[in-house]
Amino acid sequence: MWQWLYKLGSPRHFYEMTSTFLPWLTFVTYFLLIVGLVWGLGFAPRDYQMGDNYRIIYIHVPLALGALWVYVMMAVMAAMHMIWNIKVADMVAKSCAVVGVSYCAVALFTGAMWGKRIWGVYWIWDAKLTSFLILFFIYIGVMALRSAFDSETSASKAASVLTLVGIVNLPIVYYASVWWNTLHQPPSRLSLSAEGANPPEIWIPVFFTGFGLIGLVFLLVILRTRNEILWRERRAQWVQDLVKQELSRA
Amino acid sequence: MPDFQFASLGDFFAMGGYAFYVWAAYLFFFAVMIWNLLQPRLERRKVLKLLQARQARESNAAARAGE
Amino acid sequence: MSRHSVGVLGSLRATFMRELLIIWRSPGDMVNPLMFFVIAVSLFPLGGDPSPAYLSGIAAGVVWVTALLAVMLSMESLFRGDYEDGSLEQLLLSPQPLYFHLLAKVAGHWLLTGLPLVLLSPLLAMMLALPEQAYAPLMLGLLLGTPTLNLIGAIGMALTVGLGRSGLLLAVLVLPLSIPVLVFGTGMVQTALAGLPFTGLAALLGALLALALSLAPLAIGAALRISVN
Repeated sequence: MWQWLYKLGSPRHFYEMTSTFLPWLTFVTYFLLIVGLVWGLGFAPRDYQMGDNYRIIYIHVPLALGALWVYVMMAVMAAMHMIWNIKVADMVAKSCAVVGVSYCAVALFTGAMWGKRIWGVYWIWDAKLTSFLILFFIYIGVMALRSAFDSETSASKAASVLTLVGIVNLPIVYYASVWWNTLHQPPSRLSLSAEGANPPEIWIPVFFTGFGLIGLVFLLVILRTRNEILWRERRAQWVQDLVKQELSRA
Repeated sequence: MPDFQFASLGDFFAMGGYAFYVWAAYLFFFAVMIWNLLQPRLERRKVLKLLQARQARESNAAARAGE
Repeated sequence: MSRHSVGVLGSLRATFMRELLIIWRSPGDMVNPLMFFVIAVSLFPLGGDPSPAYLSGIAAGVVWVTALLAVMLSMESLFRGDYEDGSLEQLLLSPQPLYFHLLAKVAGHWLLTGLPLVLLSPLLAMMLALPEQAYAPLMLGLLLGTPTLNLIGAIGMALTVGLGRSGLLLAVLVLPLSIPVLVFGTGMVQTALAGLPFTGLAALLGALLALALSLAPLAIGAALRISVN
């Protein structure tokens, strides 16, 4: 196990290992997503209170959880980069930021579309919405900081520090918004209509889209990290050989 | 196997009157995820092309130095 | 210990006094954040509605948000000069514990830029027609909150000091991190206005300050090492 993890820390091994299981991951991810989305959009029974509008949650809930979870992953990678100076960890963290910010943006948008039916407006300053907005800002900050540096090493270390500061801040942000919300009396509640009233079939597609979107996180992060590896290791012999191979194949 | 919940395809697109919200959400989702999936592939092509150009440059320089 | 060595406490005192002296000698660094604070606050009645009913509703938020922005604008003078003349490098190389040096530096900076904001806040609260029972929680909140904002701002400044002009980037990095302080700070004033006890929130702001005091210097130190290299 440790041996395996240790090997993943080497850019070359990361690249080669991901080459072997990328087709599998792609297949499983697409399968889960297609089944989940088709089922959720067309075959899951209608929510008796909210009608078909509720079908947005099949993407909304997994995306929101994903956005949060990608940040945690990014912070773990940042810590590994700071403590052990593992370069691959930083490349993964850089990829995580892009994937995380896109998940966060889509979660906010789908949330607004879903909320219009419940609250009558697209946006309310609810604790969850506010926290995700701030999570979105923090992602933007990490990406902006990284792109501001010319030197790759400074950029990676600075982004790691900010990521770690952000992970300390996130629970406080959530707690602050919950408290703030009780002060200002929220206009409505967030939960789906009384959960007991819904048949379990309504929830099954969520597992498919949920695992599918987690698979998609890994897929996207790996694809981006592989590009990053090729570019940062461009002087290594194995990358040069690989480029020659690609050239002859083309 | 659960049944298809809509009487017709038109019903399916109407989404029980919530067509705008549901389809806007899914459209944005698909747009972003397709960009997410395409961008790394284009990036990979770009990186490989850049690296190939570098190799060609370097081998040219080496050949010239050898003359 | 030889006669010439100053010891840890002596060197901390020197760092603290040096910070005070630097700011004292360039009064703009001290006065400009204050001026910004006053001018920005007075824009709200002019741009909005001068009626006391409207103003007292937004007063707490306006004072807190502008104080937050003023703190952020004042951060430039914390590391910029030291970075340019090389004394930041000396600080990082010094054998004394960096953690406490950074604390001393930020404390000095707060004393001359943060504390004046706290002292000026009742004047602005009066101009914004804030009821009198809210003055104490506003000032207490700012007293506990501005050092935290200073420490968070110092992290952002330490990350961006090597980048030249970094004002906007600093804002993008620091503002989202400052939101909890803002929420609890304005919340203190609101609860006081509602006639409820605000000591619990003061304790929360104190807890945030304690957390920032214990963790921020570590992040500032790591960030400075990146910026100086």
